[in-house]
Amino acid sequence: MNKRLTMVAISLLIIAVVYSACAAPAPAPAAAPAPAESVATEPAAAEPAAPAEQAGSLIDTVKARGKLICGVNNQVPGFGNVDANGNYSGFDVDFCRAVAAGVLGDASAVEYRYASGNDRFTLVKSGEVDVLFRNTTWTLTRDSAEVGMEFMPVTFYDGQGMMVRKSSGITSIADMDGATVCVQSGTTTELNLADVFRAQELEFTPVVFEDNDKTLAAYDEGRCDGFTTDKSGLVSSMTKMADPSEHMILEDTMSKEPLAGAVFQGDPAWADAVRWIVNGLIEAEESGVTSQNINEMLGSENPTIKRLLGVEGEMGAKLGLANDFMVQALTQVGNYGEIYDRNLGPDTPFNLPRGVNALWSQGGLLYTPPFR
Amino acid sequence: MARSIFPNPKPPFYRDTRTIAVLVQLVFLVGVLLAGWFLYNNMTTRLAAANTTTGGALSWNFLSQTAGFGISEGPAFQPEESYGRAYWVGVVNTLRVGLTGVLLATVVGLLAGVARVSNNWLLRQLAGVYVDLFRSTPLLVQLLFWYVGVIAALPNIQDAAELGNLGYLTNRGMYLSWPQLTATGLAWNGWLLGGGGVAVVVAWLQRRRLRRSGRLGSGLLAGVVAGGIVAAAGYAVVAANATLPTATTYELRRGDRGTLFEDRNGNGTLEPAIDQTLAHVPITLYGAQDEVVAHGSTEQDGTFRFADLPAEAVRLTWSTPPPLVLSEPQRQGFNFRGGVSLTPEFAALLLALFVYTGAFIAEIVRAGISAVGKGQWEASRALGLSTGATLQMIVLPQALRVIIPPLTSQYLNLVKNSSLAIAVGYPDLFNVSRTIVNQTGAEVQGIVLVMATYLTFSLVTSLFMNWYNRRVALVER
Ligand SMILES: N[C@@H](CCC(=O)N[C@@H](CS)C(=O)NCC(=O)O)C(=O)O
Repeated sequence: MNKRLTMVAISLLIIAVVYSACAAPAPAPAAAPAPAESVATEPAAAEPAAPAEQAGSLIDTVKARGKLICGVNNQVPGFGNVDANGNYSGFDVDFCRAVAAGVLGDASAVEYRYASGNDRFTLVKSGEVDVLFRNTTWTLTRDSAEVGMEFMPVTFYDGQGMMVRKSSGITSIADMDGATVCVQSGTTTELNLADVFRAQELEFTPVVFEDNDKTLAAYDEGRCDGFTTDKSGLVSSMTKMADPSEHMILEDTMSKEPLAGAVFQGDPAWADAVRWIVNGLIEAEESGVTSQNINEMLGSENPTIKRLLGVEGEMGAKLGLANDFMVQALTQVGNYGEIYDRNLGPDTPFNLPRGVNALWSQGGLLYTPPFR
Repeated sequence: MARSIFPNPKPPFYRDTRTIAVLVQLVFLVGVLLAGWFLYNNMTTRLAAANTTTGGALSWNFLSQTAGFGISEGPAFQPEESYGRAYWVGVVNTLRVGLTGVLLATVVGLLAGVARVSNNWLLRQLAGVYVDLFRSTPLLVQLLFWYVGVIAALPNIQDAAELGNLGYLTNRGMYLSWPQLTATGLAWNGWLLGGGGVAVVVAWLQRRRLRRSGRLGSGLLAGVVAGGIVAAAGYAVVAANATLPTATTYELRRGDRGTLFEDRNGNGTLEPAIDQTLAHVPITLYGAQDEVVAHGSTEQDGTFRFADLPAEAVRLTWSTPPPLVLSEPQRQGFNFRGGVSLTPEFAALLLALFVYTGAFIAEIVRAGISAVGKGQWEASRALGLSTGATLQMIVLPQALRVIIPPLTSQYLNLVKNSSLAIAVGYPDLFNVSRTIVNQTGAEVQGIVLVMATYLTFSLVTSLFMNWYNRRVALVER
């Protein structure tokens, strides 16, 4: 028995050796047909160039691939959501589209990947996604070499909130001693919850789920007294509840949650490109350039607008992009204000006032370094 | 002539099967090493490029850093404790659900397996339906069914269903009254242990005595009685001597909560590593005017906490509890406190695991019973043994030899399947490790840790089952 097995193994081995020896000079993929074929026919489709990145930047990889792979949410309406037909939409999704337009000239050249709370940084680090736009808070640890993200400019200034049942009699966090709180894992939310309750010497039991739908469903069914996440997430989640009118969001803001895009830390060229596309969207709002008036604006005499739209200077080239990169992003996606209004503004179910997310010139926090 | 039939008694080395066998192994080993090296190299290159860890080397320092998140159940855990401790809580939670699951799956599987070969038509059909239904649907679907379809449909905590005097049933879990040792009852533990030992010895002696006189029986009853006497005597002794330590003191926070503990180092503050918290001690809280603001008792972990006191408490007194109390769940604020509780997450996972695995074990048991020759049944019956006795004494012991090896892999499956906990938010080791990895960026270390832990569980289970298998195996001479 054993002998036979050995013989079979040897024959196989010999066949393999002979074959590979024959195949070596010729390009025929005889030695290992299966893998060779799959590599040959699917150039970089789901294959993020792994170690090669050391040499080149993602900026070249993305251009060569002709497609941007963007990590997003798929269950937070208004920010990152996917409909029944597989179409993605939302505030974060529009930033993916703007980056694709800026780098590739085509806002639709995006492949979306769901980035769960727990997995998102691993996806970026391993090169599974080129960029992450998924209501992700910029924190020291995440920025540091430990987690290894490089953060983009803040796109949404948020803070953590708490949703409770109106019938519970809770009016502030201080009333929540001993409460059970539903929360998503792998988030700053989970940490802030512990911090805030600890600071007030309140006891709580967290019930922790992997994604927003599960967390929300558990709260909705009565498993928890409270549901906590970013206030934007609460507003968005409310639209998915059985009866939103039974619930309310407490006034308390439990933390600062500056939500920003993120890329791989070891790739400065790529980080710069993405960073300035985001900055450009804010600059455009400040300068009054919209997707509607961009054709007139191309003839503007304002030097900032000229540089922004690549009419003057070599701004794009400095980033490894076409000089009209912002023209592409703005025509196809629109400026920051347009993105905000389209996804979160008065005509949407969320109707989130701009608040601190207004431009600095209008009393908000949005402020981009100069385009020069 | 012999010589001409075997012209070359020693073949050249490349045709010697022994050499070839070694060579094949070597080639294979080199292949495995190369593949491993490629993967490792790939990883370190990427890590170095990300500059995430010093030169791509993997650091384990994160294990001692502060976790910062809470864990819903398991051994007491505070957010200020370390990631390492958080992982440990996850390990304990996996063991909790795994061991209970193995136990229940064995019982259910054994019953259903026997029922499948029973003469009772209805029983046979029921067991058949059970096995078919639960063996042929995915475990994850069953898990979500129990969690979302069954447990979430239970009443809300506001209108919890009362289970007589036993406790309450809600969609936040089951809360049961439960006897628990108090601060003065810890000394009884020794007596209980002693009683257990006595029970085992007496049962063994009794069994031997019965066998020698050619009778059946396990000696279980004698053992239980003997052990019970020791335990009862111990209780009387412990109860008569019940006193709280002289260094008993307390910490009072916010005027409505705190901890009662034995201050072993006399510094007046609670240090969990040194001081001993005092469970189930009756306490009275007094306000600033020395009026009584609350009566109650500390909980299992020595803490106490009152909701909606009329005034802030400034001091408290305590009295000596009996060694054992019946701790009853009581609604306090948002949740029940006291007694024991079974969370929906644990309950759903446990149900899913043991019901699913039980169906597989039932088939293994059925196959094992069928493997015992018909002659054994007939001979046993001819000797006048009842069906039950035949099963218990003749058939099952022989069937065990066939049952144990596949049973082992079912146990291993159950423990590994417990990582589906993540789907219902039960904080098992895998779930906790995911959070740790997310917070620290230690992907590789996290996976290594998780794999090593499951591997350890599997090896220990296999070792134990192999040992047991050898014990029940037919000893041939
Ligand atoms: N900003 C926080 C929390 C972001 C977060 O994960 N929010 C939840 C609730 S809105 C979410 O996006 N869940 C989507 C999912 O993964 O299901 C962070 O970066 O950690």
